[in-house]
Amino acid sequence: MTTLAPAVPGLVPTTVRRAAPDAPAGLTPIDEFLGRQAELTAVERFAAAHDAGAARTGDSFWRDRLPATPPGPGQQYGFEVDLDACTGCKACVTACHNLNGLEEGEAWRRTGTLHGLTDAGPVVQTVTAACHHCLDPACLNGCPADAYEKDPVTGIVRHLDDNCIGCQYCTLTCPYDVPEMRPSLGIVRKCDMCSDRLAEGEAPACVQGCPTGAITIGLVDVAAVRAASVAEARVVPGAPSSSFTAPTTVYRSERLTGGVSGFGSISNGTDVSKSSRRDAAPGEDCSPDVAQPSIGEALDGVDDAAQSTRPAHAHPPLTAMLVLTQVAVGTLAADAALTWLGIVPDTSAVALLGLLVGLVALGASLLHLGRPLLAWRAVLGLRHSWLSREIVVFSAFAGAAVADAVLVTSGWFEDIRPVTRGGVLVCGLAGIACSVELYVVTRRTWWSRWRTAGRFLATAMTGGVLVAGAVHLTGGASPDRSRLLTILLPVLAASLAVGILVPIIGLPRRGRIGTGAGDLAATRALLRHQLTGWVTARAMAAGAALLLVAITSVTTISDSPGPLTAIPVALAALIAIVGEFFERHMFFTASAPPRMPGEPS
Amino acid sequence: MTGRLDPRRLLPGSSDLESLLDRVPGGFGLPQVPADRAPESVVRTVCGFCSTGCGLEVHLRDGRAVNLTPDPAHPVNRGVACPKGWEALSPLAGPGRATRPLIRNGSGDLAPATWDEALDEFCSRVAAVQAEHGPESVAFLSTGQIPVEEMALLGALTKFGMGIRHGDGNTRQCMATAVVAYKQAFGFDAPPYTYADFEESDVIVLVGSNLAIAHPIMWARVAANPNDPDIIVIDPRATETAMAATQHVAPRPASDLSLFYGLGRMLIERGAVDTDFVEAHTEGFEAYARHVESFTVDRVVADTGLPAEELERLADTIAGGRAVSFWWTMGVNQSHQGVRTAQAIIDLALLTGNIGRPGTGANSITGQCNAMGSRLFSNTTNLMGGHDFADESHRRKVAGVLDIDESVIPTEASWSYDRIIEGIVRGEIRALWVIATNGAHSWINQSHLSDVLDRLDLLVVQDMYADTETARRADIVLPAAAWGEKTGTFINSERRLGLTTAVSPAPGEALADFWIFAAIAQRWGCGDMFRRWSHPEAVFEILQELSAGQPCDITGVAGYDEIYSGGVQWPRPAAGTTTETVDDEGIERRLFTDGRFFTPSGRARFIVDEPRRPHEVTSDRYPLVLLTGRSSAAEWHTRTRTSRSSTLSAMTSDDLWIDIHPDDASARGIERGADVMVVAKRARVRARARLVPTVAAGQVFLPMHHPDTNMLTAPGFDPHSRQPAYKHSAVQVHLAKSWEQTSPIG
Repeated sequence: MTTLAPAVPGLVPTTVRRAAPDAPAGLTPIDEFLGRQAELTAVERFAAAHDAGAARTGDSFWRDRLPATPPGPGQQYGFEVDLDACTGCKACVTACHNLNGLEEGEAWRRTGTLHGLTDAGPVVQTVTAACHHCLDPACLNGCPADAYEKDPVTGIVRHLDDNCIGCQYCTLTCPYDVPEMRPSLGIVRKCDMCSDRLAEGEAPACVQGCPTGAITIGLVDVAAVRAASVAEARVVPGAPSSSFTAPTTVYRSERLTGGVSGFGSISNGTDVSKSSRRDAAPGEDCSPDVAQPSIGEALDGVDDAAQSTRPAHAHPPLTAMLVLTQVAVGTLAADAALTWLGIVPDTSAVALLGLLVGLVALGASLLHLGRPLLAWRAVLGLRHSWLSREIVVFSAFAGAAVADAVLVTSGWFEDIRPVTRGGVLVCGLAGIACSVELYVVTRRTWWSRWRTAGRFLATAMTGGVLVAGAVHLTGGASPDRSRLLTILLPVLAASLAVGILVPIIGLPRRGRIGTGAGDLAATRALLRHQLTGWVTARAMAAGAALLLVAITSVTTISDSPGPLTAIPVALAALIAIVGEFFERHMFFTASAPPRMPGEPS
Repeated sequence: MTGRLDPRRLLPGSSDLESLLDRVPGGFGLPQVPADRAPESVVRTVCGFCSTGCGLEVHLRDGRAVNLTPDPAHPVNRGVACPKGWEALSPLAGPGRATRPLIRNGSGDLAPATWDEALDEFCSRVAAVQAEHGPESVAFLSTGQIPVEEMALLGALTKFGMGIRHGDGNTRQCMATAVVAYKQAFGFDAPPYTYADFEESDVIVLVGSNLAIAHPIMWARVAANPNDPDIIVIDPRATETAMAATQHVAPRPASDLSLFYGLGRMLIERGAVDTDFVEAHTEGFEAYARHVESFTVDRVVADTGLPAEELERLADTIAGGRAVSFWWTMGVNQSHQGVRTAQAIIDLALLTGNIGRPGTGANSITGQCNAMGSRLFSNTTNLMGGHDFADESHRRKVAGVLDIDESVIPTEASWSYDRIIEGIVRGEIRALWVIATNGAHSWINQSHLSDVLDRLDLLVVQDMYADTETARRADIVLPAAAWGEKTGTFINSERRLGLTTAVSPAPGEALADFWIFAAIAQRWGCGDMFRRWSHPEAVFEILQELSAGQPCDITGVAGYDEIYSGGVQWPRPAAGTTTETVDDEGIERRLFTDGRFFTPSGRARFIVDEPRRPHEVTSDRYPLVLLTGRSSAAEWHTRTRTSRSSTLSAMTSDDLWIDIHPDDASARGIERGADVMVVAKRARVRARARLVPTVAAGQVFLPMHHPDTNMLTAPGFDPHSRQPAYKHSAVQVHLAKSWEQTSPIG
């Protein structure tokens, strides 16, 4: 029998061993134990034995977890999850992590837990989810850099890591929260259904890793999935509407549906099983009181309590970019309006300041990118990505603003000034419109069109009138300061009111999870609890700015206001813009995104 | 893979990101693996978390572990693993590793020291305590997490070499009840089953076991059962396992003894007694039948709160089963009358003849990877090799094998864990040596233990991490190598010996517990006693000799080479004289196939007792029963290891969530996610409310892995096994005021 270690008498007293002629001189006992510890004798002894061992016949193990043939015309691969067989061990998550060599903490499959009550009794159900490899992938549609492709044969939605610029827009557009930013790499990564493995007839990592075979790969009928992806359909109760992206994952459960398998998106890859659908009309009550809900509500009432209770990512560079582009556009617009009304003279100062703010904003947006030097790629998605459009339009805005600033500063070509100024305004407003649409397409109700447009325009108006007003109040070219201040106060009051009220009007106390109302209820809870400090700070900033302008107007109403009135207005501008930063912080953090149910943030 | 931003990735020309995810054929029969971790060689090992004993294939590059996959050839897990197994390597590289010995200095800080200094400090202070207060004033608390060779060396060193009398393990917290139940009923601590029984039953009865979460790979064996079995889950909570059951029976907490006696009565009434088996192979049936006579359906309904029809259905299913297997875990073991409850389950198996045949058995599923090894070889409750300290012939045999003076062997077993703690309170124990366990988190009524540790003259903690709740309080910290950094033998729940192998170098100066014990033996001056104990495999041979003639005889095992691949179940006597059934390939072995038990009469014993009230009952002030348990398959042992894997941490919550029934919540004005206080006599703990119908009204549930949970648990113990009864405490829950914080009371 071989032994694990050389025959060193480990516990023989030191003195005895040192007396041995072949003992290394000066080796203390503890040195020897440390030396023994350093020997990985098992590796030497057993690795060879393993090499000689028979090759494993692993593929027979997962053969029945894969379709017998590749997808034919009108078909694609899809994950199938047998919820009855899934007991929630989460091995799929670790198998994905380890077999794909992902970064520490990274996994392309996640789980959530649903709790509820059916006629058969209480239910606890783990839901495992990876990418749903949608027919209409929101990640791909939103990507400005064309870093996604949908394989025409397999239907797998692949992320092309080398094309990714790290803008993270896909993390906002995907209703299932699938793509995840890897800050250390500067890019997003996501599940590719282990396409290399599938190509070789090997099961994806999560499929291999499932101890009970609950996850398999199936062939789905593309037309059937498309037909089934109606507004009310969901892959599982509490998930976002399948109408957004036409997801291909099939979840089955007889336990939860009383014998009818499938949840409404698709069942057995072909038919729609409406009878088992947990339809969830927006606005329906989703009270946590699950005293006796019917089977139709089985899992809707209670989802993992962790869900929707944590603020989302803040995206500070995007906050800065949004607020400052809007202030820049607003400033130039306000300046144009005031000039046109004849209240102020046409000066270069505002144009230059507006340009400066705009350039800072665009610079800030570069900081948001994981790979800023690849920013040029962001225009590639112009045909489908609102982000590409926003970038192109704001670039045009910057160009027009530069031209306009040059003209107004130099006094050259005065007769084409209206053209450049018009170009600035058109591009600026179009840019803001792109910003609005960019968030609207994510389908988050907190980012609905009117809430978002209200916010962004209010920011533009608030910042614009204050900045333009402050600059003109300093002006030596005899502006009509009384009239300016008289206009400033009501415009500011109106824009602040819009900015504060429009987003929060109609936030419901309760809403069913997986619906827009449920998301808004979660937003409301966030604003009332975790984000109350931001709400307060934002309100105080708005109040302080308004108060400063009001005091300035009132105290100078009888006299002819002097250039010193610019100081409190400039201060008000600063405070109000800081307030807009607070608002934009909440725009991101209070957003309760649609996603798979029960998922811990 | 780097966790840092490589500036080159910012450059337009960089296009190597996709290659980071390249997958290549793994070779060695492996699936595709990440290209940067393609193995140069592969070594098998046995997982070091739970008692399932899964085989893992560790992938090595440059002789170091870089990844692992579950072993498809291993008879236990057949190519799958739970999240802990998949992530077994991450904790080795995690933060907080103890890499140098630490000694608490004059200013009260733990300061780095050399091994020589630490060993001198350890030996001189232990000797000083013994000189002043007697040799028995030093105790140790060990673990079910280290290989048997290390356990045996610790047990021999302390008791035979250092004169230490008292030592116990964290195994007291998980399987002491099963040990006593088996010893009394079968004559030896002998879980009779093999995992194939999960697949061969047509009725599977799981008692107090959330198998799907606690032992996911054993659950995979249940899921592989081809017989479409009836799966009965007896648990107050609607667990993940209960979800998969064909019948979920939810008795009132701590009422299960009454339930099993009532079931016994119903089975007798149904004529389900296997008379031939009972007459030939058991004793005490008449007393049993008399005892259960009074457990009428009405009484059981009143005791358990279960409807009569549910009891009838349960009895019918068991009576009608061809091969009924009974399995229990912590819901039974961690109970105030766990031993008698386990024996009531054994009684059911005996009276229906469901033992010794495929798919049957009264089967305790144990917890830790080597709890079963500790039961045989730790030299604490049993004299090593499953012997009895009180038996002179056993002492003589052990002394002979070890070539030591018989007089150094104590004539009584050690004190149990709780008695050692009480000994500290009474001043009888003055120094404590803690090896690879974290009692300051896990012990019942944790705040009390915390207070008690402060009374010691010396606390030594030997652990792979220097930052556990217990290690932070130590006077001396000895840095230990971890699973994966050392080689030795584990014994799993089905009595399977498996080899855990060194695949990764230990950090800094950390040493395997084996070498630490060896170094202490040498420093203490008793190195001569351990001349034969030169390395783990030499110790394994000693343990084989000690096992000779015992029910756990392993003299026929051909050393590490035989247990390296797939392992071997005990018994395996040298001459192949075993009468146990072994399947065609020798992979599955179960006990009692010949109906002969290890009692002097060769018969299994029916054992009964009167049910007792729990140690703490609800009251107007504390009206809710607090249940505790595992909430996730991704956590293990006070999270000391699992918290170091961010992949595992992401599956759990750092916040403490209490599961409360919606009716109990609404009666208290508690909404989903609300901050609440959970108040027991001993402590108040802040938590967040999760309103779920999976706990019954009148009960609440807390995950045992949260560090605050055991502040609340009521210190009660099974009188026979001294196992703590974690599963029954009385609490109140109310909405938290903003200023209320977690704190002990009194």
